[in-house]
Amino acid sequence: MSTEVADNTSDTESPATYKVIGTRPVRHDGADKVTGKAVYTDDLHVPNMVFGAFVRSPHAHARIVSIDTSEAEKMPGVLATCTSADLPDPWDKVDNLGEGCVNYAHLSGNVLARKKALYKGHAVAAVAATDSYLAQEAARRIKVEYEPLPATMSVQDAMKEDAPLLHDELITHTLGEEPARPSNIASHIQFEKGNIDEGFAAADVVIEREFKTATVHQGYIEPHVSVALWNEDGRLKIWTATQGSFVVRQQMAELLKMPVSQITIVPCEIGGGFGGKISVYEQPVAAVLSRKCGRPVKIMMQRDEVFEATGPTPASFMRVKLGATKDGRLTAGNAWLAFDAGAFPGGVIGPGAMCVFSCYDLPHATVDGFDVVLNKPKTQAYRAPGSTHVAFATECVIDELAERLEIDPIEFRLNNAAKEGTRRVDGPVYPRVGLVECLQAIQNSDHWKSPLTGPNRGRGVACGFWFNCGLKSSVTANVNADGTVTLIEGSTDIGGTRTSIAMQLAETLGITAEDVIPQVVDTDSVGFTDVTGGSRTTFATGLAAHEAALDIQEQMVEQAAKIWECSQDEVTVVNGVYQGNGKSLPFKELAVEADKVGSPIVGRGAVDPQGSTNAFAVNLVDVEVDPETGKVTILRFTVCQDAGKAIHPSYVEGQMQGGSAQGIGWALNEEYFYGDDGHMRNASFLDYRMPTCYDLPMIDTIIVEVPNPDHPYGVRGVGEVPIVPPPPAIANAIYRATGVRFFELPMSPPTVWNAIKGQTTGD
Amino acid sequence: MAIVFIPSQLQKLTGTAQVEVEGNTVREVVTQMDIQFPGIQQRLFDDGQLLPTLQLSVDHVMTRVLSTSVKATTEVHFLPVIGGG
Repeated sequence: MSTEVADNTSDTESPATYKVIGTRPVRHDGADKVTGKAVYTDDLHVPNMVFGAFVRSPHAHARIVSIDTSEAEKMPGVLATCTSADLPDPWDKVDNLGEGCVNYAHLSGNVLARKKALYKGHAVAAVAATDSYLAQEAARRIKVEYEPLPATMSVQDAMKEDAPLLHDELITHTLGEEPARPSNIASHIQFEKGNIDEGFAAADVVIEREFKTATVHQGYIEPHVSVALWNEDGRLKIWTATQGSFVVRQQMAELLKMPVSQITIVPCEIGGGFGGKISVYEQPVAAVLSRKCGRPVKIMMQRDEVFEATGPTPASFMRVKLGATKDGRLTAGNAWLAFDAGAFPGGVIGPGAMCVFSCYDLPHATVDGFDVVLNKPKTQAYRAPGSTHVAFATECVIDELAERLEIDPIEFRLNNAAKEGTRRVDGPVYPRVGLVECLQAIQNSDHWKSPLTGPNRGRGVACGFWFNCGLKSSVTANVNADGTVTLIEGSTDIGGTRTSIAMQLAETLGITAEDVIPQVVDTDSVGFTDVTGGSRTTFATGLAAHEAALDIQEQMVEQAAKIWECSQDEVTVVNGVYQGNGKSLPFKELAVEADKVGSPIVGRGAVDPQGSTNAFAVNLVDVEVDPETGKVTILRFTVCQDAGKAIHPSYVEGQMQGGSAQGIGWALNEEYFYGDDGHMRNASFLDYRMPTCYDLPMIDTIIVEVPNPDHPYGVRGVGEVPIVPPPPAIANAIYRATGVRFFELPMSPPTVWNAIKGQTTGD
Repeated sequence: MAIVFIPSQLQKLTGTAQVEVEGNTVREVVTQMDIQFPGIQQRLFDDGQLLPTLQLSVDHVMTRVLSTSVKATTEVHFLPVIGGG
């Protein structure tokens, strides 16, 4: 692997020198992870624990006529059953969870179907029994009578006037006038900038294309799993695999109509999330079963349940039109985007519509976005939600424009790249951002400078954008008697954030990363912390750790003044060394002395940074296409990304490589295959084709560092944007290898083979 | 005073894409805007609060805090909320 870190601080900024930040210490949870000692939820065996299983709809759309649990309840070892009647009546309340919003009536109806089953696999009932096999057998004996209804499985079909309605009273939400009649269009978003008629009139070349993408899943290895214990005193405790323990607590409180203070969420280690482990699924059901049987209940989904009944990311239908002048300036853009929300409103069309032209300085544009319900599982975020879809459309048209204008594809992008002062189509103006620097870093890379030769080979490039966010984070930091610091945090660690947050505390205090002991704790043991998502954790929880370190430093100065019998004003701190009254001690040694004379030193950090930190990534990819099979082999792949500041470069590279690998899977193979009956035909990892190490080359990384001015160490966040550019970069590479442009994902071997064959036969 | 960028779907109410509105905070600006263009607040707020499906961009910083201060050159945009992965 080749890794470069390009320092892109401006002439007016002096590059900071750090002792901890930018180094690569061993991760604090490394030993537990590699020796199998780390505790995941399924490792838990709580005394008297029993097991839950779901009854799921065999129909994609059906009215529930009746549910009879009596036969199951007679089985020895069956302790409780549960249907939607056991959940409190839901309220039509829409809540903002920090990372997106949720309608609790919809959430409750997704957890356990009420009047209708809205997708194949929709949970209808559940049962708790003394072992998991018994629970599954009991679930089979719960009799559900259905009245099947016609299903709608694509956004184009669902938007038709005569489409079967999922929700009889769903009126399209728009800021303008709402239609009188219900439909499957849950919302319509619109942005306008300038005058697109003028913009397209000024263009020498205009290209318009239609694109489709398939439903794909985040594909985390660990299935959804929870243990719930509803105690006799009315308190509820849940151990679970989640990206956000506090957000789970908030959802549970609303769904079960309990105060948050009665609920404790214990986040266990997590085997991947990528946006799919924010919403609750099995947690409320396990809780209700526990309440009914008086014992802790574990529910772990099987893989087919994860595919069919959690939250994949949407399929889409998009139309993108762009115009440019002969000298390579974009003049106007128009986008029409319809995203599949799944069975309930609230998909990712909002950010999709905001991202569609976010890489470019477009003087005139309009964007229309539609959130469409259909008979598939409720969709959820997947790394930069919505942005990968729209980047596929825009970046393919950009590539075609560059080709038509005979301009180098990177130069064309540089001509039009968003930079500080560019106004996005949705309105806001960018502060300092790093897209130009990323494109230039790709231009200067060994990869770009190395010619690609050979038959059936092609090279593609594409850009991607994601907002990243701030939100709430809290930490507490306790200085120990030996001078180490225990860092208590609420951010579940998915990608090494224990260490990246600890490193920021260490840098501020002037100690080593190894001197910090990070602990991810339950919701009773730390202040509110939003989800590990939105590429926010190293940025925002790191900011909280920095604040806690400054708090500690202030208390250490106070203690030093006492010890050295001088005023606090006389104590100075430089690089973690405290000096005063002619004496000097480094942090660790002073902490040992302070422990003997004063009150415990406890630092506090609680932050709620507003705004986006604006991440850009650029991909360069070489492919070879087998004309006999249509198989695309990735020969070489380089991802360049503006990280702001890479706190732990290995973890930044890991995020860039992981996101790229997922983007490659999305581009080439992954898709939900649905039959005419609305059943997913490939609900297993055997048939849902994710890339493995045999499919991927080593992914080269170039980290660009354009510091974020709103963070003391310049952090932007890195987790999401690397998934965005791979599909269009690969599509553009396949075009150069085959002469065929692709407008649909995935570009799987049969699709590519058919297209090549059509080209050669003229079909 | 702030410069409010009117969402395109609400421009029927204002007749223009941008309006300059008096006020020291975002909430005051929206209240004043509703006096000038009756009904606009109802499209953006629910029970006195910003719709949960919306966020603000105030001088290009995303926020949902209605007490955010504004000045004469402040830009206010109404945008969809963003969920991350």
